[in-house]
Amino acid sequence: MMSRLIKGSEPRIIYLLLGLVITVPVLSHAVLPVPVTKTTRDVYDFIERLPADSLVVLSFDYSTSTVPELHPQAIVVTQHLFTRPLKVLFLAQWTDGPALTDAVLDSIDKGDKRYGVDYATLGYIPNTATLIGMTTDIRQFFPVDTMATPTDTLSVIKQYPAAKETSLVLTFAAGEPGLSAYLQYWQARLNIPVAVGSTAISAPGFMPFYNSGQIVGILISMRAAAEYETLINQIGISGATPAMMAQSMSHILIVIMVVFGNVAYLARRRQSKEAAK
Amino acid sequence: MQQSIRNILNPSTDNCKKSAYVMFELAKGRMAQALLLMIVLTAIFAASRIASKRKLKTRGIPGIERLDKWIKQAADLNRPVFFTPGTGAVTTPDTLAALALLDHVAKRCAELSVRLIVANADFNVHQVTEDMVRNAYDKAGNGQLYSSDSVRYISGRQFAFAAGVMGLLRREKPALNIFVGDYQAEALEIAEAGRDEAIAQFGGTSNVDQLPFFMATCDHTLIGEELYTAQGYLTDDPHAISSLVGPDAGKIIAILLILAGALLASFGNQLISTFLKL
Amino acid sequence: MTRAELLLQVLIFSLGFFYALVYYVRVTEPVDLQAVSDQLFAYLTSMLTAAFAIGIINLTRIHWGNVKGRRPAWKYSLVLLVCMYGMAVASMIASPFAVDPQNVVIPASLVSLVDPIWEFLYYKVLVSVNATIFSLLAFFIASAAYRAFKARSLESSILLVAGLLVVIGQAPIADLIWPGFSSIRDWIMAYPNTAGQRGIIIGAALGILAFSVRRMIRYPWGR
Repeated sequence: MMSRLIKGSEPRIIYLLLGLVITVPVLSHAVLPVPVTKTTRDVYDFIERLPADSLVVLSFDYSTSTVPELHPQAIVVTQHLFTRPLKVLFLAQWTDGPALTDAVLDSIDKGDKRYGVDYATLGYIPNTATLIGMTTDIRQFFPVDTMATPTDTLSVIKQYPAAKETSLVLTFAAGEPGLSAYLQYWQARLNIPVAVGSTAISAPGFMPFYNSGQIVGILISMRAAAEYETLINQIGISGATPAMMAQSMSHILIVIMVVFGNVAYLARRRQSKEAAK
Repeated sequence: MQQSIRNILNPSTDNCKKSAYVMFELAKGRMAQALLLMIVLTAIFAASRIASKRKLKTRGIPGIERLDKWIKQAADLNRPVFFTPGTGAVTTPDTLAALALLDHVAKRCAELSVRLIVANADFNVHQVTEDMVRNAYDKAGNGQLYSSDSVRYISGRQFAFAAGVMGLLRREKPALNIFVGDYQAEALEIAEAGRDEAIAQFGGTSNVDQLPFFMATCDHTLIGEELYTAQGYLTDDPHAISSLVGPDAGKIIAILLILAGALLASFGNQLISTFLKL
Repeated sequence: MTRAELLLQVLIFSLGFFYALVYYVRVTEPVDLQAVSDQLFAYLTSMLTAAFAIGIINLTRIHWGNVKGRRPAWKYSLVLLVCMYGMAVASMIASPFAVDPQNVVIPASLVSLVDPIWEFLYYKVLVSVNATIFSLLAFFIASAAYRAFKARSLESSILLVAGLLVVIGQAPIADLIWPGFSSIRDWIMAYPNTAGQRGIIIGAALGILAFSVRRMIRYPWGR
């Protein structure tokens, strides 16, 4: 009866243990050193090597549901870009993008960067025609920015009137539309380098593009944000590093549970074979 | 390699006549793609014709074959069948394939007087499914089983949709949960809720990120192209069955190209990869 | 096939063929076909977006029906309607998509009153609730992994070992235990995983191709 009770309660026991291994490290503020992976370092190094005054486009292609994974990445990358002498344009292929862009800009230290001169938020891209068209003329497809300011009055747009001069586009992609649009219309046609910030689930699907050199790097989930914090030497700016201990503990727990489950399964199978004999 | 062809149709003579010419060029980097597409399409059609003439047998997909049994089980238990065509737009191939499957499921449910509940995340898909399900029940003479609650629009937001579907599954307790189409992260939540409440679960998507979750939670999963060929398995139409063979011809071409390219590249010859970049 | 169905079929085939042609051949004169296709797509987007109203009407009809008829859980339907229309109104007044960003019609005082409410509803409620439902995935993945990763056969044993190695390798703590874990994870992701994904992607792409061509040639469902 006990084994049946445990079997029926298995999911609840799993959930309880998982809840504990996540909550305790978060509440205790335990911090773990995070080794930097190659996919993250490639993105960082690419940005570091960009000449001064280069144009970088950040595309916020995620919604509120994937904020835990992609928002920390957006914060650290934007902070990195704002510490370098670069120009930044903010776009979004998802409707939540503009609001999340504002949230990121509110949470970083902008230093001496000025809106309109060093960066601008253009807002939501409604269709592929806009994505393609802005490579030749931004002002035609974005006559105003998110604050209804005419884009032809913005210095950064005067300096870069066409997106084809972009030195890097980095899309924080939770799904579609996302990376494929930039690969198809910007990278394949105009050779604009593309990088992607992805969720853990989507990352395996982007690996073929990384391995073939079509994208310069991948930021995988919150872990990449923690790694990036280490690279830019601003631990905790996005809240990712403190979460790594919880993430590690949950991974270890899953491994232990799977091993335990298999040991129990093999023991049951052996018992039933012996009973059959 | 770019090719420009200028075809002058009417040479200009005076102010009254303007020269009319067509300027077109073959898109850079897509010529090999176009050639390959034509070869693959030809192979698909040829294979389909041969299969249709020779009435070839296909291997069958066990889950598809059990679909009718599961619907009959729902009828015996007087429990509904639950269907979600995913969170994709009506223009995505996965959603279209799901709608093709819904057509069959709606007809069977209507014939067996089983209540069908459909949950949608896209308002355009909602219109199509509403029409489809209502027509199915009307044609089967079971119009009284259809109500405005049968086909619902939940939400366009991914996790609001997931939460709504999970709630529906827990309240309606269907005998069969079918979720095929374009899914993102919400798939696992729907699958887990369905696993607790439904007796049988049938899933399918071509999104490789979500396939592992489908495999772990469903009694049967349509993987990738099986989703697009499912309709062929469900009908007795020889044309539909023969169309199952077509993509296999395309796959053979792809395999041969990959093998040839890999072999040549191993010996330092970049012929195939250069050709594919044309 | 009726005349209407035939006409629809011809239209579908023509448009499909047109889009395929425009992708491979750039015609710039006498008319820029790429611009035409972009414009057609813009019209399609407008038509599809207009159907958004259908969704709102459907939700309102069902849930208002629940409230009016005092059906089970009608209070949740009331909450849904209040939240839906409340958020819609607040977003139209004060959000990045506000209808009057220059305050021509809507007074600035109203915008400054609604703005903190919108920000609270969006950042503190919507983001948190969405993240909560997303977080359920962690628990479901754990229970699905516990259930699915069983060494029932040779293939499932290989899957089990590979899966465990990737899970361990993904954990930041893995490199502190043994640096080889991340190398193994990288190898599994770069080779077997990529190979499997490419196979499925190629198969699915060919399936989409055949399916789409069939749809272009024979529109009516089920035939």
